[in-house]
Amino acid sequence: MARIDDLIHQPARLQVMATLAALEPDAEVEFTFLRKHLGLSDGNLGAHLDKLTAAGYIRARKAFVQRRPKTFCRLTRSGRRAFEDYLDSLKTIINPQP
Amino acid sequence: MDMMDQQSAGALDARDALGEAEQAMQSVRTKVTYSGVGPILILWGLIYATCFVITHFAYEAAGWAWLIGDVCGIAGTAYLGWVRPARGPVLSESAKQLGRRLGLFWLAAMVYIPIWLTLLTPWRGEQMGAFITTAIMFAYVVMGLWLRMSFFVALGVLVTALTFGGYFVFYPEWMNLWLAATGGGALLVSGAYLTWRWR
Repeated sequence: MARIDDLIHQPARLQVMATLAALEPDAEVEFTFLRKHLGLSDGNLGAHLDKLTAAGYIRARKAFVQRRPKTFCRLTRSGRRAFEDYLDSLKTIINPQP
Repeated sequence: MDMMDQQSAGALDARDALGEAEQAMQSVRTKVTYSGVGPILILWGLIYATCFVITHFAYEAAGWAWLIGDVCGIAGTAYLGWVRPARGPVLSESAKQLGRRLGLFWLAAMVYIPIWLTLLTPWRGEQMGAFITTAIMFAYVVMGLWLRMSFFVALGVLVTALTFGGYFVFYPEWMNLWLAATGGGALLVSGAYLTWRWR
């Protein structure tokens, strides 16, 4: 039976993972862009990112850009693999193999 | 890590979740691609429209107008295409490499088009304008097909059709104004739309 990753299977975290997975494997996305694009609050997005970071799916990097502190997030290799496995599980549930 | 099986999947059912994931992936790809392109189209739309209008009303100043317009366009495109994204919200070395390849593609077009114009001289100014417009739109179509950006394919085909059709109706008296409206206007409107839609 297909098993689903509970950590990803939550609407906001699914959006975060899908957004990061859609870009180039080496792409880093700025926190504010992610917040605006997903329509989440600072605290809400921060909490979801913390969970995904703790699981090793996302890596955060803080940097100064034009003297302003910014946080960039990227999907780790294991995060990308977990997301691909998650999509495969959904497809298996939708179209179970005989 | 917590895992759960199909029966306890919770609020989202698998089909909805897959649809949401695919939609989110498509949405961010489109936003990142088109939001960066919109201002470049607006810039070139303004240059096109202005230079064709100058060519129509002050033909003796056309050469300088196009020279200044092209230099401004290249400098602006370099800023909008390379400098600004490096400070932007999405950083990616592989995307930068694609940007460099795109830049080389347009550089090649800018070298080839004057060569073709020289080889095919003598032309009337209006014919030259129509040729440059359709040549650039051909490059849009190729780029759109290459990068799977259907918007560019549609824009390239539309402006080419308008230019080619207009050639039989407005040439030679009104051709430069027609090119200002179709070439410049289409770039301006599509650039403004992309910027607004994916801001």
